[in-house]
Formats: sequence, structure tokens, C-alpha cells
Amino acid sequence: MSTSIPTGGNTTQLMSVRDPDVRLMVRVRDHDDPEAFADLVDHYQNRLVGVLRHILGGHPEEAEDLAQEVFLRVYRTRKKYRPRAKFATWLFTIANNLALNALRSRRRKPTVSLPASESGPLGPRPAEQLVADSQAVPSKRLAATELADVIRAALDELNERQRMAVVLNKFEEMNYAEIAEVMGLSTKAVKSLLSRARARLREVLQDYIYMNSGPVPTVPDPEEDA
Amino acid sequence: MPKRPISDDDREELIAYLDGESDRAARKRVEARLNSDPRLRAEADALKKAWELLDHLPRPEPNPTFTTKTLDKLAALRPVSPSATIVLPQVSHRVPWVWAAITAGGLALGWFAVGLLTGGRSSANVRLDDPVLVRDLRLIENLPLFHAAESIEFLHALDTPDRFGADSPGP
Repeated sequence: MSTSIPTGGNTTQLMSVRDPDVRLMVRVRDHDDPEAFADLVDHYQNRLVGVLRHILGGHPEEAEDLAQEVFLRVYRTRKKYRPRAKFATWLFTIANNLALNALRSRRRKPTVSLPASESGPLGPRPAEQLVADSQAVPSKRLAATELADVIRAALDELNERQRMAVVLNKFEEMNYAEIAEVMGLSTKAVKSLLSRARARLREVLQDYIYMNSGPVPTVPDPEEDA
Repeated sequence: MPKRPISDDDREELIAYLDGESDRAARKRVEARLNSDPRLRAEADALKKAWELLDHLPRPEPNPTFTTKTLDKLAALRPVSPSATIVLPQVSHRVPWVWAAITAGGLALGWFAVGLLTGGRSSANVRLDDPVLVRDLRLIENLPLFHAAESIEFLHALDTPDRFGADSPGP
């Protein structure tokens, strides 16, 4: 299906050539094309749910509900879409805004989250758990789960903005300029945000850093240097 | 000669270097210091390893029905005419309730208006200075809205610019 690109001039054309998802979004904007929108949902659902899950923590349903809201927001605001950057940048800008709103309203209405094992139908049934246990080497599975829990907790140590910057940088492989655009910050602010976040992660994960990778590098004692 | 301690600025520059975000001059500065300062090398190593640990986080995947559910909601949003761009999906599946609420609201307002016009002659029970009517006037006026909304918090959220304002601060 050929798509005319009536607005935005050279930048639009350039972005459309570079990013196939921009072309899909332009079809949604100009023709309300449901197939193009379905392709976008299909293409980005895993990434979006993954990012929101890391940002929000908690139950998977919450991240999925919010991801759905992000896609619907994309559709509702399609007429305002101007492709000046990659489509992903626009999508994650909306996701960032909604995620921060969700975290703010969660703070206003604090809830107690139960571990999966105590949450009735959300947790694995005993028989399912036994099957899962029997299919994995127990110590390895436990170690992997524990490590994931520790890293999850380390991420939770970061403030919301640091966590968002880390997740976009690590899992979406966004550079500083893209993160700045998504989060509405300067590139310098993102540099500083990521620096503080990574220093904090390094501090919290200190005991796990050299767990599987040989000896800890020796660091000279500052007293000796003096 | 004593090495100077690693400052926040040093760390910021080091992390930008590790992320490939340094310009040429900064790259040279960091590399020169990495060559001469074992503490900075150890810091770089620890930062890299902590970053790599994040790879152990599971990659969550959405429910297999995610796309279908999202597209079902989209169907409710699709405009009748191309100009209709904003439709709240939460309201769309409550159409009978909306009509019922509008009807109820209209009846209440009509009843109130009749009372006004007839000066209370048509119904001895309607009085303009009735304290109950006066107290609940705003409620009666907004009855359709209250019926269509999920909750009072949702209505408050409609007034919050960052939730329903300009949606696309980005591109």
C-alpha cells in the first residue's frame, strides 16, 4: 500500500525512509489503517510491556494494562503525530508520561502487594510448581531467581527517573539524546541521571558483581599511594 | 604521587565513555587516566559488571491475547467520521447507561424547570428554596457525567492537564 506523506516536509520523508514504523504510523494517521496499527502493536508489545514491567514492578497485569493504554493513546493522538524522530521515541515518550502518572497515583493510593504464592489464582498452583521445579536444576533455578530478585530490588532502589533512564538505555539501547527526548530532559541531565543511577547500582550490587567471574581486581590502598 | 580520588564528575565522564557517549577530547582524557590510575580501572570494571548483571533480569512477555484485546479496544475507538479523534474507551461500552443517565438528568432538569415556570402551582411538592434541591443542584446538573464515569477520581483526573492535556510532548 503506497502512502502519501502530506505534512512535515523533508524531515518526515527522511524519517519515513529510515524508520519503517514511521511509515506505519503515517498510515494510521492519514488513513486510520487498522492493519498498520496492528503491525505496530505486534512489533512493540513485548518491548513496551517489558519496559513498563521494569519501571512499575508489581503485577504483570498492571504493566499490560498500561501498555494497552499507551497504544490507545497513540491511536487517539494519531492526528497530532509528526515524525521528527524514530517512532519508538514517540511511543516511549507517551509510555514515560503514563508510567510516571501511574507511579504518582500509586503513591497516592498505596497498596500492599502479595508475593505470587499468596495471591490466589495469580500464583502457580502446587502441581504446576512441582512440574516447573522438576524441569530445572534446582540450585541453578534458585540461584537465577534469587539473582533476578536482587537485581530487581537494586532497580527499585533508584528513583523513578533514574530507573526509566536505565531501562531505556539498557533494554531499549537508546542513546543519551534519545532518552533526553523521551524524558523531556537535556542530554547533559540524562548523562548525570545515568551516572548517579549506575553508581548506585554498582554500590547495591557490589556483593554480586564478581560472583561468577574470577577474583576481584585489587585496588591499591589510597594510604599507600600517599 | 598520590592519585586523586574519583569524583562524581570523573565517574560521569567514565560512564559516558563506557556508553560510547564521549566526544574525542573526553575520550582521550578518560583513556589517559585509565592507563595511569588502577583505581579508576577497577571502578570502570565494577561499573561494567554491575551493568551486565541487569542482563539476568527476566524479559517479561505480554499475555498472548494482548494484541487481540488491544485491537478490540481500538475497534471501540475507531471514528465514525475522520474528524472524531477523541473517544474515551471506558465510556463506549456503557452506552445504555449513558442514555439512561442522560434521560434521568433531562427528566430531573425538566422537573426543575417546570417548577420554575409554574411557580410551584403544578406541584405542591416542588419548592425552589427546597434545601435538598439547592444542595444537590450540581449533582443533578452533572448526573449524566457521573453515570458515565467509572469513579469520581476519574472525573478529577479529567481536570488534570498532565493526564488529558497535550499527549505528545515529544515528536
